[in-house]
Amino acid sequence: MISIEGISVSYGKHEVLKDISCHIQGGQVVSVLGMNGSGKSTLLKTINRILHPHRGTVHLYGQNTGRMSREQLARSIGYMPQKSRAVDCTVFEAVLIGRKPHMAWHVSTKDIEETSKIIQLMGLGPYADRNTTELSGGELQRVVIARALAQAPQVLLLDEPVNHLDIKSQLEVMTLIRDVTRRLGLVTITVMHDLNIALRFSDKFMMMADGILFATGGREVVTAENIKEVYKLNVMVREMEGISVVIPCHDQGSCCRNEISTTSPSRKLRPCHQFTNGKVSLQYGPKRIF
Amino acid sequence: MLIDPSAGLEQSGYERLTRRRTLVLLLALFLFSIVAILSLGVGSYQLSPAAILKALCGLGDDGIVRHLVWSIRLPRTMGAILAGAGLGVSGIVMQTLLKNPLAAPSTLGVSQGAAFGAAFAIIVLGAGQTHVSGNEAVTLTSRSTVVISAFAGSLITVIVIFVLSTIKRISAESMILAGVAMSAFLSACTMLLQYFASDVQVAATVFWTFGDLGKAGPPENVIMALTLIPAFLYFMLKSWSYNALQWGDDVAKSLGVGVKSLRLAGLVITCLIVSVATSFLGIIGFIGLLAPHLMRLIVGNDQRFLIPASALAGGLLLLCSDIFSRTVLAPVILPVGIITSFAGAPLFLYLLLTRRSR
Repeated sequence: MISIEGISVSYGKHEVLKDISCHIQGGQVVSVLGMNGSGKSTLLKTINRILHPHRGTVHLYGQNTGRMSREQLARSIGYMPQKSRAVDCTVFEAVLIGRKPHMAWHVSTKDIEETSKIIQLMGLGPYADRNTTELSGGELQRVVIARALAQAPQVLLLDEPVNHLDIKSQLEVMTLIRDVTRRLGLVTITVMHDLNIALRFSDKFMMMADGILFATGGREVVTAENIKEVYKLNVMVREMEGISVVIPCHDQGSCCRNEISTTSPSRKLRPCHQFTNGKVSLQYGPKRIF
Repeated sequence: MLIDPSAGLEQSGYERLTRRRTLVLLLALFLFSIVAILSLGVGSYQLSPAAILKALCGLGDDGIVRHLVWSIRLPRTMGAILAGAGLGVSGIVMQTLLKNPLAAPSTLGVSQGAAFGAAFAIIVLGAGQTHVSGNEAVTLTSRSTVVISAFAGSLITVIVIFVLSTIKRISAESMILAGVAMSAFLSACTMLLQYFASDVQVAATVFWTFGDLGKAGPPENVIMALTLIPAFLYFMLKSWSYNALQWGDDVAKSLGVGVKSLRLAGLVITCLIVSVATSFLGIIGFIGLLAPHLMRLIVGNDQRFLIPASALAGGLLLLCSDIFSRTVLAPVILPVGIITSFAGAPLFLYLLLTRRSR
């Protein structure tokens, strides 16, 4: 379990995270949603202590991460950054470096075996001896996720894990992340831009706007109203075959018409936005802690 | 099932790669030893390997041969090995820490700092009162002053790097630009001193900047060894951290690497190695740049292999350059710095082109 308690982070005088708090149980995939610059990546870096909060703490299974050594933290938290560039080495070596927090100078048989397992798990077996500079963006993305998994962490922080991936690979990788999370009881926090992929594979959501945790909770928080507030975008949220789907609207009117004319039997849709003098009037509940 | 039962197939590929790299290191070490012995025998007075071994073991009756080997050739060869290895190791560590393949002692301004220090000693402190005698047209009268001053000059770069990275917290990429600016500034300072100096002082300054292994004696070699050996062990110990750093600062931090301290310690130590070598021997260009690039093509990017490989390649390149400098116009011995720059520039261009074509 990871507990984030009132963390605030500043770049100079600009506060990019403001009093963020939440508790996440093991075995859950949590998607962090929000526009560019809303503080999503900063949140991940702060949890991992790449950035230091000027206020607040992060507890990992009751232990304050601020008091853990860097090596100890590396054995507990696996991290995949937003941007990854290839390095002149083989895929096997690129994944093996994830074992660094666990291994001594000499590479043990266990390290090699663990690395091999992760490579197979991520479907990278055929590429193991290939140089990472020869891989496509999607293949490199898998390598980077594999490296984070090789850390054998309790918490997995993935900054846009399906970036650069085609739709099939997106589904495969997210299925894998969800399965590994549940099977190993990990806490997986992913920054996501594709709301539909997030809705399909995540258990919980953190919606961020301007450094503030705007809403947290299960799928019920990913509403048209909340999306409108966080992304400044009109959308419909529909239920299709038991999965919530976010559909952007061409204009405000089309969303209203569609929402009024369709009624899902499985899930009651919220009424169309209330317009007052051309402005959207929204109602939000208190922040939820899950 | 999440884990495929065929897992483990890749380990053979990795183990193969590791074996190949180990073999390359052993071959390089063997070649290095051969060239080192050859270096002891080559010169205006040729010595056979058997004579060299006898002299090294203190056997044989020929006192001249023993004197030649122990007092002249061995210090020179050891100087080439230590300076070459030091420059090679410094080159690879600087390139990794600054994430720039062009990082080298000269790029950071260490060599230019040493040259400025030497010029200051010769022109301002009067250590360059030269005399014309025998084979050497220009001889420094107060060599220790020049060496200490050159060392102090090169430390300017170390201090600037220290201040920029700890107080101003500039990025690794910016640090190389700061190095280029420092190089230009220190070169300008040297030129300014030379402008006001006499012809003889200018000649002495220029003479000093020629990297010359003839300046290496037992005391110089001992100091170079005392700097290089602990530094080399430290770099080897940190090789996994350097491997992690290649993936970026954030990834390295997430893998448990203290990036700031690693970078600062590495840069200060490499600058010290280069400062010591340059203040004793003068400027020897291209070894720090060429050795890592050459060995990266052969052993790859794993720093556990690339650091010792760069050390061996640096030593080997400098030994070969020295042999060439002693034989090409024998009995005249050319300064080895001229040879390394002459051979280094086209070789570096060749490496760049072949790498690009791959």
